[in-house]
Amino acid sequence: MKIFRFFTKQKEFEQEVLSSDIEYSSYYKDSFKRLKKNKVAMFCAVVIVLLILIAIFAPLICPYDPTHQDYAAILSPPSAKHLLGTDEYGRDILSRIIYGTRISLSIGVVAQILASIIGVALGAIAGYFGGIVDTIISRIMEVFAAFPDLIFAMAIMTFMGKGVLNLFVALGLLTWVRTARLIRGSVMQLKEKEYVEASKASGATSFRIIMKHLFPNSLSTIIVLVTLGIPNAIMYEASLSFLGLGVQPPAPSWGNMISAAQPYISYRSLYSVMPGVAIMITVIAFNIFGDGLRDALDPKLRT
Amino acid sequence: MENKKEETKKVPLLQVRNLKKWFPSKSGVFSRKKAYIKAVNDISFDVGYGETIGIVGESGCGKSTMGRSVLRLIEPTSGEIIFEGKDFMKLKDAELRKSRSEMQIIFQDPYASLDPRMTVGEIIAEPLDIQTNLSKEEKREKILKVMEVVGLNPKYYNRYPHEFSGGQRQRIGIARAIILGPKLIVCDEPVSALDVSVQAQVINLLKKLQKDMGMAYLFISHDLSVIKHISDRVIVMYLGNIVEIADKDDLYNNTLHPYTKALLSSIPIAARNVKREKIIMEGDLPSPANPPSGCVFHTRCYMAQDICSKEAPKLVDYGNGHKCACHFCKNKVTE
Amino acid sequence: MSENLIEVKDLRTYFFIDGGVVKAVDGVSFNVERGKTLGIVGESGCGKSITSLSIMQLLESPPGKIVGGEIIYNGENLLNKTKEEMRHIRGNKIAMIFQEPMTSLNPVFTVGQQIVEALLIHEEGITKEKAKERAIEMLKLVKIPLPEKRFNEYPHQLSGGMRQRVMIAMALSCNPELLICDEPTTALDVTIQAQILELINELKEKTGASVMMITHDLGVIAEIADDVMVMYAGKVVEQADTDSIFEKPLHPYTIGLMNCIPKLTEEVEELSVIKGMVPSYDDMPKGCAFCPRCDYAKKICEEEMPELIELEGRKVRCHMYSEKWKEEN
Repeated sequence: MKIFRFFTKQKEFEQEVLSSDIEYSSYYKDSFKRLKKNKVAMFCAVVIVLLILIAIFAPLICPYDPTHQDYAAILSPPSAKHLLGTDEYGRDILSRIIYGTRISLSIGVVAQILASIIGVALGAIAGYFGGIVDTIISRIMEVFAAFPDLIFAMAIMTFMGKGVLNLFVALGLLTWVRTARLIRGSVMQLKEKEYVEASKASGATSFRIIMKHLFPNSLSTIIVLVTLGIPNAIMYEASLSFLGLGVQPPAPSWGNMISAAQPYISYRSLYSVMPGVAIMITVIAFNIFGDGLRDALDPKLRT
Repeated sequence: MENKKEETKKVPLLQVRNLKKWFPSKSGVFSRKKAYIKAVNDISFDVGYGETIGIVGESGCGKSTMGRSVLRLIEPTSGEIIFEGKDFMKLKDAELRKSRSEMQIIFQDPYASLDPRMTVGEIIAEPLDIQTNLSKEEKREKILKVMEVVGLNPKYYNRYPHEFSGGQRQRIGIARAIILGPKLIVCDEPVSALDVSVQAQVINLLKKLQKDMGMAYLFISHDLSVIKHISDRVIVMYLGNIVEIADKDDLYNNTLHPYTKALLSSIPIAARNVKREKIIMEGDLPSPANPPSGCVFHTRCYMAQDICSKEAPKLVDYGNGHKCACHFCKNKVTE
Repeated sequence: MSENLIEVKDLRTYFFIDGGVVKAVDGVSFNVERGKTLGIVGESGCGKSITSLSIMQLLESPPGKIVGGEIIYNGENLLNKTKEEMRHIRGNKIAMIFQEPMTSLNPVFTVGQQIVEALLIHEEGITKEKAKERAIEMLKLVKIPLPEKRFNEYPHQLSGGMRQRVMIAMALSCNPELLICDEPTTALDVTIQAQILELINELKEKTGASVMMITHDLGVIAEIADDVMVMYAGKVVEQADTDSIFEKPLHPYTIGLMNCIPKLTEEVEELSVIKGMVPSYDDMPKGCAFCPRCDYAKKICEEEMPELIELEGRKVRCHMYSEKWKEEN
């Protein structure tokens, strides 16, 4: 939103107030310039865009319906008809992996957005108001952080029941603490800045200070957190689906595919390897892009 | 000048009475007794309309805490702050926010005091956004005018702070502080982070603005030369206490307190062949968490005697509003 | 033995950043005589700190690189020394103290341990007991009260002034011949600054070491320096002994610097200023770097960088004192 405001405002002024020789450079523009220089990160960005396109246009590019069972071709090896072969029900593995992209990405993104909303809100409140509010929220975060991650997620899934929606919630609850901690720290630091004091000295309300100063200045941290959190959530989804607690067959997910492929790993190794490769590519792409983004947004962090 | 002085005598713009700011300090997890760092300890003074009060002292003397307490950016522990006859301490949240348009602050660090994600225009606009209902065009017009007043090229309107040097950033901070036409500006070491050649430009700007707009300054600095140049009256602080307060000329020409004398003689003077008595004080500033008994200065004072460690001297007026807190300065005056 | 402890000749230190070149130190020459103090004065970015780091060869490289010149120390060019030899020279022969003592002291060791460590590294064959004795002696020398107690304290337990004293003790522990002080009192209060300056002066007398005092404060220069070098935008603009520079500054920049500081001794309504600001490295004027801010500037100043000319035994880089100037009038 902020970015859009920049642009409209800038146009206005170029036309109305200012002469033509204005040099305009913005924080995000600079950051993008830096990001563009990082070739590996840009390659990963392309991979991510491709993954997203694949997820969106899955029905168009899939050779088969991912749940269509062809009993004439059970566990067939790769062939011209089935590029990556078929599984134990004769379903096309390539199509299932393509559809798996949908599930994995959406779970990664939705779970992260959920985690960010909880994390940013609680982290900002704890960091800004401090005192007893901070103590309470910090204790809650400690309780959440004290459980081993996977066991905690399994407990939630068992308690709430299986299903994609519950998976969103479970993963959201699992990962918000990290976001909240970082945002709390960032806000605590930012609120001591003199420009926040200047704002207060002009009579700004807490709400205004949070929205105008603290949030925009934490935005880069949040963006990086979300980007780096997505692969994390994808991994958890895969783990949970592998354990049978996540996405339920016949819906395809990379995790439950690996799980289903287990018995056949010795003679149809491609069946279990390919979903693994998909997970690997996605996770690496997001991680490297996230790192690049962090470096680009905050040049001070670069070592 | 005459008018200004008379007005000052009638009703001061700001009256500070027995202002205290004590920060609680942890003296141990299980200790019941609460310990305090007395950053500002029982301070009273007046600021007249259009007057500049210089506040000088070493780091840790509480001068910055005092400046912020006066604006209630830090909530004072106790005391009275009377601004234009109104009790500033009694104001509730919403009223307090509203009355903030009358008092502003300029900070020391021109890098930390401007939001890096905002353009110059947005930074200067902030007080207007908060305090007024002006239309976008009216605001813009005002901002461009103020930018010109503080010596910023209006074409920088859409630039970001990181593109500016320290001196220009300080001008942006000054523009933000004056745009609402406040009656009092607390200047917290506004030039100490700047290069010498730029320092003079900013000091001249502040003086010119005061002449044109008539606001009062509470000018906090550790630099006695700068304070001398800009102030009408000077307060010298040591460990949260006022040790001397006087009109500028009295303070510099008829220095009473031994601490002020030591401070003055410590400044390296940029000239050769200036013979002057040097007082090199021994030791460091004691910790404000554990101030000395009696006169807070007695541990470093070259005149200290037995009484100084037992009894805290009172701030006594020696005529013409020249006050000093020392057991021995009275003798000097009568001599 | 020559009079000069160190002779810097045409030193050039450039920084290579983002495809551009920043000429941080651009042809600087000066000498430090034995037992004398040279003050280097200038504003931030004028290259005064880079000059000292070049001598110590403590530049971060890349991006910084010494691209030319000589640093003759006791007849030997330091730029031809190996890293190993330089390490020996740093500390043993040349020591340095910095503006912020906290960042130069290791927070997890006591100050005593750190001085002992320095002694053990630089002095061959010294025993631990002997080193400890020497360390306490050093703490006494820099007038730290209760040195035996302070020996076992950590840097954070000391005040800023005390830390700077510890730094000086460390720097002097191996009897260096040259002490480089980079803004040693800028972070300190005036009363503490006065103590430290007095201490440096005293120690210089006692040990006979030469001092290079880098500062932005002309007051500090007046207190401590025998000779002064004024730098602006990577170049020396004026060099003279301290008395004559305060008596009669020649370069318009030096004149401006002296006039723009508020003085205790005189009263003015308005401070005189040097207009504008230091040019940034990618926007250096073609001629004299000071020309856009100079009140006396003429056409020649815009076109040509003046040479450092000798005048009455001092040096100044300004067209005003050249033959051409007179011709133009």
